Amino acid sequence: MIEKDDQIKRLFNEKLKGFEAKVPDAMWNRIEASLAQESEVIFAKKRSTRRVSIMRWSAATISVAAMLTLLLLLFNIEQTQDIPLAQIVETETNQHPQAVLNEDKSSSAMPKLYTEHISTVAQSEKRKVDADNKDGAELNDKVVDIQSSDEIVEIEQQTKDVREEVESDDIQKQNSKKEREEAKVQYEKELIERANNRVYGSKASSDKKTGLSLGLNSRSNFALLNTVETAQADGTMLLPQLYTKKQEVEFRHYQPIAVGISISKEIFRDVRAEIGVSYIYAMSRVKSNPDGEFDIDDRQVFHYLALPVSLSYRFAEVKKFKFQASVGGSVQKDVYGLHKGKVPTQEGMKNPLPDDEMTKIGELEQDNPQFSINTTLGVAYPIYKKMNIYTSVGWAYYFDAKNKYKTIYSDRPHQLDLNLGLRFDF
Amino acid sequence: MEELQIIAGCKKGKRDCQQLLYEEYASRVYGICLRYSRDEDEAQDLLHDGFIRIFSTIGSYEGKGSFEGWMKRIFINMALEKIRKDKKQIQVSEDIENVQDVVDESADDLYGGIKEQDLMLMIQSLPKGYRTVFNLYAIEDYSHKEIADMLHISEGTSRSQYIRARQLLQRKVEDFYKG
Repeated sequence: MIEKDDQIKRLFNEKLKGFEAKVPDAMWNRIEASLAQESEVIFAKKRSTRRVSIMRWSAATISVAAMLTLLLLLFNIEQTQDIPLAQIVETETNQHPQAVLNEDKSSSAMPKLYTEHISTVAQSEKRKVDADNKDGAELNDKVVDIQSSDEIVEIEQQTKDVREEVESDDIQKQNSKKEREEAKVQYEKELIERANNRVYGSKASSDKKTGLSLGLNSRSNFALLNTVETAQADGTMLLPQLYTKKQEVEFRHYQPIAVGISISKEIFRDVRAEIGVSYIYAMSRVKSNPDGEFDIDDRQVFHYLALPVSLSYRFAEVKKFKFQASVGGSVQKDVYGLHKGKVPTQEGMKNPLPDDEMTKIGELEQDNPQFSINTTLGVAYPIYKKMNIYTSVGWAYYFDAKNKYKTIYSDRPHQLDLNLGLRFDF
Repeated sequence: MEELQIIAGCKKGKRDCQQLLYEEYASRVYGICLRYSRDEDEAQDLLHDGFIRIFSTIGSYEGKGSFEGWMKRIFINMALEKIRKDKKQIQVSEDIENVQDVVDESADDLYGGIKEQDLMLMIQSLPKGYRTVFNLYAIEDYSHKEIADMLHISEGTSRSQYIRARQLLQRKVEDFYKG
């Protein structure tokens, strides 16, 4: 079949290609009314976004402050933390000049004096034999200069007196030596304890555990790989301006992944209280129903910040395995949400616009925080000194947050999850 | 105000700029709407929906190429979306695909006095499938291969739809002059 340029084609092309028709006067009013309605929705969303943004920053600040306060309270850190232990001991010693240690110094002074006197006598006697050989001043500053035999006699007498005195004192000292040594050991213990108290707090001691643990956690839903939900895209869900009619779509929610850090403290025997901060990544895929009017294949991603709290009880210990159960709750709020997709087109049709003009990216934000409760059953095992690896399976229930955008939390309130992590005991 | 300033204002959602854009292009794109619709009511719905989409997606227009061309493509796409419900109208049997293409060369220069409004009424009276293919081929200058891709039909179907549409229009034009 040969294509020919015909009169009909030429006629219509020439007459109608650039044809301009008079538009009804009321048309702009109709369009403006629709735009105004849409603007109200956008304005309300922006206002809500601003309010939520302030709340988000406030919540984050309060959370960080609470965490720091908790850390400070738990560790009871004082400003003297950086003072070396030796310096503290030295300071304490100087502050107590009459202390046992100084008494020791004074007690050890007597034997020293005794030694000096003996040495002096021996040297004097030597000089006596050698007559005028040497000048006594050369021997020792503490040695009395010897000039005559009378002086020697006098010194000998003094030496004898000193010896008797020293011997008498020595006996007394020997009797109380044990007591002094015991007092010295006790005092040293007190010093060390006082130094430890300054660093670790009054309740801490060098050989006692603090009961604190620091955990690094990860969590993922494992029982539900994904879910498929059918919903009406009614203009409030995704890119409202593009959906003028209801459209059947499928939501495929992927497993949210969470990582976080937590701190726990043993508050009673085998009972621990735990608080933490987690980051959660949740993605959903939105696809049009095969029978739908438009082709839709979009992504919806939410990034959450969560504050989990829990109480755990260690109910069994078999060899090195510690089994525990916990109950808790969590509040999480999206800090960033994103929708990425293309302008919907008729199924099977070629897009009349270039690809870059068809791509739409929009930010999403939920109105309300998501609350949940959970319980877990797990086991911990020490892998290196105070480091434990632990795993647990859990069940969580997510309350209806009445948010605008559908997520796995709204579509599947009951969820099972798997937790893995490391825990450091202090 | 220049076109670029108007577009920039529309990207910021300024209502006065949106109105200026509408006033500048409404009559031009309304002609397109009329061609793809069966009547004025349907054309006005298409015009309304098209401008709403223009204003909501104008942020993606980066100034590359003609803005009027970008707008027209969106309106044409909107029109094509609407015919999906009547997809059966562009599904034709084999015998229709084999319609003979007979061009009446003798009719050259005979149709000079006919008005645009009359031609528009003739196009609107066509079945939707014929109307769409005729518009795309005869006025938008797409090839049958491109039309086949856009409508997800075979090239032969596009060609036969066009031939049918042309035969009907030729008859209507002749009737117009006779009557």
